Amino acid sequence: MSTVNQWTGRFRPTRLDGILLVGLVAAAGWMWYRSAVGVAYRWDWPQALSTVFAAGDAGETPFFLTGIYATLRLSLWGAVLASILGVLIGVGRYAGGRTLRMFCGTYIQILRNIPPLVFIFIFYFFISSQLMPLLGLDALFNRPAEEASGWQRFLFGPPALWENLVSGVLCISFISAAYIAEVVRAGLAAIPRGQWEAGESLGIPVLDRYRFVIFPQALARIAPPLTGQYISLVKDSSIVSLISVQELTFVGSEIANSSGLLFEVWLLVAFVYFLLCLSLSILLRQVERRMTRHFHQFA
Amino acid sequence: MSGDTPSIIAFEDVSKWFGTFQVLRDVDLSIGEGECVVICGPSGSGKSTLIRCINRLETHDRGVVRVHGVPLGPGERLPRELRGKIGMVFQSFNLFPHMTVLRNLALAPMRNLRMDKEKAEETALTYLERVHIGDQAEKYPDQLSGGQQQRVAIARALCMQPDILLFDEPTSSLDPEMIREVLDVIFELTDSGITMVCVTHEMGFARKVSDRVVFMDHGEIVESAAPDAFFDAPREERTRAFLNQILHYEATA
Repeated sequence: MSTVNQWTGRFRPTRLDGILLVGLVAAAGWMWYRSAVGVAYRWDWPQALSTVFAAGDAGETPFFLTGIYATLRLSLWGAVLASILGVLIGVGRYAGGRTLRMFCGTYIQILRNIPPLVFIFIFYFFISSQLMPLLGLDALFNRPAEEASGWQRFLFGPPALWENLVSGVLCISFISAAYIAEVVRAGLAAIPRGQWEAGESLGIPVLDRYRFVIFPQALARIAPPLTGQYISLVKDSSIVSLISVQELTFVGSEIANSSGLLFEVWLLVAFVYFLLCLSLSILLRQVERRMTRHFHQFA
Repeated sequence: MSGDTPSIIAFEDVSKWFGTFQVLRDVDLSIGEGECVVICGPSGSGKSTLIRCINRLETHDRGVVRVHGVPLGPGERLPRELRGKIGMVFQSFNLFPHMTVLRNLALAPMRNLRMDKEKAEETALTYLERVHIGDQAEKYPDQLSGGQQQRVAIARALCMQPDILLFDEPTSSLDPEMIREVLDVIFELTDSGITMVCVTHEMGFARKVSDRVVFMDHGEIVESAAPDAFFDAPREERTRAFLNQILHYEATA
């Protein structure tokens, strides 16, 4: 393995690094050879790029870009909702009475033990179609498009796709909340009992004990698994393409199928996801560093 | 027992079980206002459980605990008006590791007493001076020595201006050279009028500081006496055996 000097952070390549590099280049070459010779694939990157970034007939935003924006919005609101639900369920599971603990436990078990895809279909066909009218959301979404302000468009996208977005966000966040809840519960359970007792003996009200004493410490401990959860959420947002939420994967598959430039388009889609997740993990690591800088015992 | 002062803490026939194990056996104990009581005894004798029943970190199963005249039955938590009025200093300090020393001290006054930030930090600094670490206010707990951390914990409890201060083996997790500085700080509190109940194995400290020493064994109070009488002329055989065990080396040194 490569060795990074712990003190200087300098990289010293070893023989194994060389072997791995040669292996990688060989694998890439073989794949290129198979696609060129084996299936006689004709690469056409210029065509692919111009297709992908072509504006609409009336100068609308390129379809591919609307997919990226949709994925961003889906991830953002999905993460926000998943965090809220996850914290509520996690706390309920940790500190609730018997009934609440059982309810939260059941939620977690159900969501974690059926495939996300199956859940999404069930949710979309059985629940979503009933839930939307019940909450009066469809009335909200069927308002004339002109009523949407610039801010609303920026945050939630074109009004015509709001219902679409809500379905996607609900699906993603319901699934992710189950995992976040488990992480939150574990984080709470890891805080020594003495911290609670100190807060209690000082007469700090119970909600303030959570807010000032317990949560900040729990958050610092669960930051790494939570980061992983958010990255999963961005990637997993691709499955809601199957209920026609027009995000990156949906858009990518449309363009790939209509243009026939399968390899190029899917590679572009993969590249965009990669960039999104990589930037997210770099960003969250910075946040994590800031948050844990006073926790010498965790470093 | 407590003589002329009215009692601020009273155990009346208190018992408690952990599962089938009885930790407290029909405990009767009255502690007067302003009194300083040391509780000693072998480990597992129920000392910590006893004082944790005062601020209700533990609840008992039978009998009544009276705090400030408020009767607390089995399972009852601390009523609102007493919350924060009973300070506690723990064996493992239990400082909040993610806050500066100053914030550790200011948090409870701000959240419980609704003190504003400036006032709370001013109070905090006063108490930090009182435990001789006014210069450490901006540090984080793990940048301090054990002795300093425990003094911060004492100052933190004092910030709530408690009438009662409980010490649960305050020096047991300290390196020997730091025990003295913590005991000195506790000693300095004896003329503050705060009622103090201290579980400790520091017999020299008990003798010098306390008004009364209570010896516990197997969940019951075996003997309760003024320190001189307790150490020089223990009445009970079990007390003598215990004192012999822990004082052996001091006595022969």
